[in-house]
Amino acid sequence: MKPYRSRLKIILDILTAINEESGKISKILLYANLSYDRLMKYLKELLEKELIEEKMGEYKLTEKGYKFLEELKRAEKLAEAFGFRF
Amino acid sequence: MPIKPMLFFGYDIIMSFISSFVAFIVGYQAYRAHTITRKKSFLALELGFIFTGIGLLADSILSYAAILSRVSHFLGIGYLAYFISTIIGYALILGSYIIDRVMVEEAVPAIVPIMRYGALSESILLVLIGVVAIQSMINLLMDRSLNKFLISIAFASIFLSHLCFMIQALAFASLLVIGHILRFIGFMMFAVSIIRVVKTG
Repeated sequence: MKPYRSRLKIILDILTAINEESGKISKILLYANLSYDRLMKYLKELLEKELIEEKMGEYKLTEKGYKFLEELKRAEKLAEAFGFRF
Repeated sequence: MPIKPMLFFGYDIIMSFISSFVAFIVGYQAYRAHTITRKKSFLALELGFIFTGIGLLADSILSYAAILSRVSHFLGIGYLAYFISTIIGYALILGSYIIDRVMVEEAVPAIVPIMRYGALSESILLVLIGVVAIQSMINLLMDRSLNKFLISIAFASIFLSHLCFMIQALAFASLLVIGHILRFIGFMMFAVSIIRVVKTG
């Protein structure tokens, strides 16, 4: 059985993929381990919230997105330390 | 040679004060995590540590006020504030685990401080923090990491400190000193863990 991955964890994986890998769809798909349709849904939402931006088919984090990613990483570490699900 | 609590009086105030500061920092980090994730477990953790911090702060400030003013009533009021605030704090910390697991699918005579740590009140706090300590140990056993280890040691130290406070109310006054040191160690473990969390990224 696949371990449950929360919405927050999926968003964290997508933002980390964009930040650490290249912003190409194929790389994000691989890193975030999502189907194409689901990934596009998440990317659309992140674009609407201005956390990422698209330039010539590649995705990049905005300043707001970078700050959000840092906060999300801290929250994940805190949850991990206290044994909370994330 | 038994440790005389009288010699320790004053240091306990400093340790309580620093511990309250650490509790507020943990609360603040939980607040940041709650703001970004909107998870109720973080909200309960935030409020839990804030209440715990308020209790420690009230106890240290009122104990200090008692030394300055030589009004021993301040000690009693300080302990009452500490007890009420800590019981709420621990209940909220315990609640944060319940929410996470169940609800979300997703110069005063030294004799005075000895008397003020009551066996009954400390036993209530002991039970509450004991459940939290066991939960954190289970988390550690299921998935080991340094941060989880630090949090487990912190809760275990605080649990042992309340055990010392409870026993010293009945016998062995020296345990008051050991209890304060253990509680201080516990909050220092929280501080180390939070520094590691903040350094992420």
